[in-house]
Amino acid sequence: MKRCPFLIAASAVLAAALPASGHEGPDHVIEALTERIQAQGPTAKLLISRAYEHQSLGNWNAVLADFGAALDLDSRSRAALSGYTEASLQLGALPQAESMARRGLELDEDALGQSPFYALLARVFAEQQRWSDAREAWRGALRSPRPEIDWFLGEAECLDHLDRHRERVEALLLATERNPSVVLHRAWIHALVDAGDFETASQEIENGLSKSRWKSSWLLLRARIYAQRQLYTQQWADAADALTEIRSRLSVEHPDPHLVAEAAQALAFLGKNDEALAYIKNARDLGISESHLPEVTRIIESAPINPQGKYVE
Amino acid sequence: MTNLRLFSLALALATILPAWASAGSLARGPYLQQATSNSIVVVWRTKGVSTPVLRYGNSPDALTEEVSGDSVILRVSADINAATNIPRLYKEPADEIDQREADHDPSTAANTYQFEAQVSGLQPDSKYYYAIYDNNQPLAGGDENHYFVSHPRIGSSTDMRLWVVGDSGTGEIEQAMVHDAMRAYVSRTGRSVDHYIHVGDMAYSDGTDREFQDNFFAPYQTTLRNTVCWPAMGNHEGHTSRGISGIGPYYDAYVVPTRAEAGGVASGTEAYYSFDIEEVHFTCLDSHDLDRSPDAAMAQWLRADLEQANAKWLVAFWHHPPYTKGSHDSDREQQLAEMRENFMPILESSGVDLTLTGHSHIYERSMLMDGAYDTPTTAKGVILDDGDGRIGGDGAYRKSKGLRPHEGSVSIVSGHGGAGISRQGTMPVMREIIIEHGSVILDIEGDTLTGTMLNKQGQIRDVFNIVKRGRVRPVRIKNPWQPIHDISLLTELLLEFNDVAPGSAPEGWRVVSGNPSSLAVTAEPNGENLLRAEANAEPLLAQYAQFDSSAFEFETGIRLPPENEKGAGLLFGYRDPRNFGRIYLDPAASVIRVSRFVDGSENIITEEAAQIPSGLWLKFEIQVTDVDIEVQFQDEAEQTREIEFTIGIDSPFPKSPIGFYLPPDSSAEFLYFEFQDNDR
Ligand SMILES: [Fe+2]
Repeated sequence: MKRCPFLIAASAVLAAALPASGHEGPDHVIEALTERIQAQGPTAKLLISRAYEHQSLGNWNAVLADFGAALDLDSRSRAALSGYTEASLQLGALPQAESMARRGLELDEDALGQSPFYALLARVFAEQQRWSDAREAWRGALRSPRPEIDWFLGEAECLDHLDRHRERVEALLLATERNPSVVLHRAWIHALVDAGDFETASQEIENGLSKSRWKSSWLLLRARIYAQRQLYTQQWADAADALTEIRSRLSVEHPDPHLVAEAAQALAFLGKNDEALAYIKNARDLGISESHLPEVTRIIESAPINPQGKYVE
Repeated sequence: MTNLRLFSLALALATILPAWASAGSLARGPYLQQATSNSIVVVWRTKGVSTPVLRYGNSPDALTEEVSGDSVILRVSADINAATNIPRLYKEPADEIDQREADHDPSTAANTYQFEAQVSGLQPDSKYYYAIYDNNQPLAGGDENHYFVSHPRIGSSTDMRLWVVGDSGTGEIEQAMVHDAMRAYVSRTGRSVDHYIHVGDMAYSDGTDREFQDNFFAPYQTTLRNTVCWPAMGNHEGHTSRGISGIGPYYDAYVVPTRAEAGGVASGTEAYYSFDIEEVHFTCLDSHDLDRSPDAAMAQWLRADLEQANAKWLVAFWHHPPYTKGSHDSDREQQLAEMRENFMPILESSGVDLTLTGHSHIYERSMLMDGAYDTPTTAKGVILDDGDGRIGGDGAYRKSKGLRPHEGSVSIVSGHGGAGISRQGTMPVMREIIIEHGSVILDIEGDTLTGTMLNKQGQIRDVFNIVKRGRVRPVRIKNPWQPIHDISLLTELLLEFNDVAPGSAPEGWRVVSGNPSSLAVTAEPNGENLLRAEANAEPLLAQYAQFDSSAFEFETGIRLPPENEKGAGLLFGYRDPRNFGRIYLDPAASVIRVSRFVDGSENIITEEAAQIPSGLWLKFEIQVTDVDIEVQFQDEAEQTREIEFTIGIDSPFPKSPIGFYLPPDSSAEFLYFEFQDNDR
């Protein structure tokens, strides 16, 4: 999955190379910067600027080379260190990414300065499925006075993988106190369901349902509770309603990958296992990452009664 | 920033204010932010300390209400010795200052005080006049020009005019003209702009605090004092501001919703947000420096936001366009591709009507389209209406009432607000592609939207309508209308010959003097094609007829045959075979010679010593303006010294196609030609 790099330092250095002309596409900027580098000799700031332009074209090897060259000239450049780490991550060079992130951590004592490097480190660990290590790194990042919403989600994801759902609920509750984002609130509701706190979760779900024009995500969440309570009739009803709504929104030729994933979940709840697996494959092909695919296989496996045939669409 | 807690202003000022403090002078604003149907924020800055007071009322002479004390959020520049709970305006970290040009510190000027007066308890849809004070000392307002209008209640019938601008913050004449053209248009049409959307790149080159002042607040002040600007961050602001932590001059300047203050759902960040006005739901995204993957927080937030949005219209805006071939290419650049691949599906499955972006310095307006997520973008299977979308023309684009998934949206690239414009290709989903400076006026009235592109001279250059009524069943058009890929309209062009069959003449070339059959494409042993030209007893003057300019950049890869002593030249400013401009590579004399031919006789403008190797690929680049000519020359392998010089000219060369010149009985080969038109 492509992720946006965590740009730590700014790149105002482009200023001199680039007036606000029409010719500011990355190829032009790279050419202009290359000429300047040839004429004046390389400087960290010129190399960093060029690295960002390569990045906008997804040329990660060139990005790595320029950030690397910038680090040779200025070993303490935060921009170059974070950029180099990001490029290493993108290229799958995880040990290299880890050591660069650690180098970044040594630059600063304070939480604000360290946090982006902790976040990079956490992503390296998550990539290796070292969930405990990743969790610790996310906690480092979250010491920042201004943590990114994705960092809270990152920590919660680790706790999910570690099956520490109560802690996940607590962590997300704290997160919602620090940041009002609806995304954190909803992650907290998901965690409640996983932790078995159905009562609180149900209240939130009913509230969400009453406010939403599109209800499928809430219906599927409620279906999960019904499934765990073995209330299959209700589970099928919610899944069926969700599926109807999803299909009304799903363009056959040009689907939204997330709706495809939701459809898979609804189908699994309905016991339409083969169809569900086909949708999951489709969602995966469309770029939804593994950790965000609803656990269709788990739903299929955990249903004690296969409702196949009982549900009529 | 609204998510910073209020504090006691009186207490705060008491800790700052020396007893002898003199009055502060107005340094920015006043300008309006975050309007709702019952509240608004008025922002201004003073240089030097002041005691902020806002008074407002129903007429300029009856400003009966007052906002002061705790209801004004204070932020100060980092040099000011104030209590630690007072938020600080941007100060560049020390380790980054080292990397900047000396005169380019993005930090807030010293001794700056920013005030954000939180006005609440307003009547919906009401006009209020206002003035700002330092205690009792007036700073601005108290006249007909300083007013704000509270929004009508959310859900009340839609009747609004929006101004949409992108990539404008140069501080140059084009920006001012675009602004003036809008102001003239609204006075001509008797309807003012209710809301202003800026799709980013508002403070070139780096979004520094000073650039914000010079290139955004100062030029637009007459609009900003009575119209809220809802912003999206551009990459140039991103040079100093960071969406990740929400810091920098951009975040200092704006107050946008983070807790659903103006409708929508809470984003918890000023980087992306949503708001409702009447029956329109607006969503702003950060396409620059946040995680754009489909599972990251921003995409999750968008899904949650659109699940709840219960409006009749849905308008989304951000900086990097999902479809463009202007100064940027959405088929090649990652940010643009990710916005298309990851965000357009979410928006379209929720029924988006219009997307507004910039970044690419051009005006491009699409047909009614849906589902164009592939890379590269094609029009195949994604166009629902290929007409001009005009009431009175092919007819308005039609959609069902309400927000229904996948009924089509119109994509507008409005990156033509002031920065230099250009076009490098043809985006096949576009209905209108215009390389002129301008902006977009959106009128939404009930079920009808009218988009108008106004150029900097105030002329209407495009109009389209979307009508949302009844139930419409979208049909995908098999062979939709396509914009013509007219090379003569491009401002940037790379010509290569790999698509031309060896032995044939390439299209678009014209021999204006000499033997017309002396141009042909040949194949190199490595499979690459090149253009070979031969002059017989007469000189050969050939032009690429589709590229016409008087101010341009032109580059070619040229190879002179081994032992060639005759050389070759680039041809421009051509009037006839006896009057033209030429820059000549002369191996025999070992010079590069710039000349103007007048009635057949050569006037040498300059000669520059240069070793001209034969049998090697040479890179030969010229840039011509009205006042000078710049030449760069080196062999591709960089074995010879690079030659670079600029020479002034006493009068401009005429506009003409660009080409090359070969002396009698000579030949040359060309690998590519790259043209860039700077006329616009
Ligand atoms: Fe831009």
